[in-house]
Amino acid sequence: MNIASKLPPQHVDRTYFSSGRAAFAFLMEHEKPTKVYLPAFCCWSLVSTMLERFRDVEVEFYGMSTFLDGPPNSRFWPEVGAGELFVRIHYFGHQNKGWVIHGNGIVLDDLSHSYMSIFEKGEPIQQGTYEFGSYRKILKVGDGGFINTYFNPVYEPSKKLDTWLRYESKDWRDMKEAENMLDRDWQVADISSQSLAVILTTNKEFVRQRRVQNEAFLEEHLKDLDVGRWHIMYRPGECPLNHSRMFDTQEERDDLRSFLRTKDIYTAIQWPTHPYILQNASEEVLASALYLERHTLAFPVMQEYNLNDMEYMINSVEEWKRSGT
Amino acid sequence: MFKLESNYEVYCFLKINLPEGYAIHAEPSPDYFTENFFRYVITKGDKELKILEGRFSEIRYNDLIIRAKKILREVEDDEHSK
Repeated sequence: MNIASKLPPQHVDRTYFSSGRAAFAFLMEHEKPTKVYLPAFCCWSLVSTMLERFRDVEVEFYGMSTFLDGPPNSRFWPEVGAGELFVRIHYFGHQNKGWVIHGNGIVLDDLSHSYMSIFEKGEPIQQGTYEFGSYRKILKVGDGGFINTYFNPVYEPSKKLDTWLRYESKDWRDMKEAENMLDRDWQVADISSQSLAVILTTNKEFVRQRRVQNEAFLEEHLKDLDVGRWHIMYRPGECPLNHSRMFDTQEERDDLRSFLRTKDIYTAIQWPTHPYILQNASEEVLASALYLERHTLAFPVMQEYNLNDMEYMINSVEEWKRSGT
Repeated sequence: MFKLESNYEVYCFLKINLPEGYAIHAEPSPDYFTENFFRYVITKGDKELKILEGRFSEIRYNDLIIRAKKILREVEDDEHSK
């Protein structure tokens, strides 16, 4: 009985992969779309997968609202025809729910940032055909992706040694190299048992509560300091990936980012726009992606951090503010 | 432990095979998108001996494998000559 309770659960409603990208590639191979719609504000790994593994499939980029909860304007309702595939990313743990997607095409919900968020369901929210994602954004795991549907994939044999390297790692650089090793290939491979063990034993409620608490603390105190302005208004049940903040100018944002780095606080810019998107998307489609690239900064709110860590960040931002830059 | 067949595995290959006292460190760029770049520093104590640096997409055939094997040979020769 005790042994059985430690075994991984039967995969009845989920399929595991080595990465979110592998999960995406599997769905691409399963559905074989002729055309894929990707948001211009997009993780590079999706673009890379299309360019490296599905070169013959047409890709069209679309724009989204700056607040990442729907289309860029009320006139944009995409038409996704049969045999076409529309990728809708739920950014930063926030439900991107304001979409009405016409047609008989396939809608993929990317939950890489949001798999711990509890989303609203039912009318008028349009459910996607499949949900997929990566575990690495929220949990400290070296690999791991999923589709929230049962499949029985034939995994490609992996010759990579990234799992070995994670096991043998001496420091964060080894871990980063292991992650990079995984990302250099586009295989549809299985998740490692190391990551699966972490995923299956994580206290999701703790993760959600801690991230909500950290994010709310940052929002409240950065507002008091009059540094940037809120970007994402999280709904109850959502689990923030980070605290994303908007700044009036790129210079202000970059200056704060550099200052925080001197305090060992590492913020992120999500995302620099992929060169392929810059070359292939219209100015209108690119507008919000470029704005977000230049004006937002993501503060860490990981569950490993508590309010003391958040306070350290706020004190550092206050120091930057006082220095008058 | 394994036969080196891919440029991607050079880091692991050297990590396993460098003699005692030597080490290899991956020093990725702090930028977000780095998987195509590599910078491997081979050290002995505090001393930097060799640096393998570049972009995987620009490597011709198995050039990185050849360079890694050459470094390993040199290091081993150096150790044996003492």
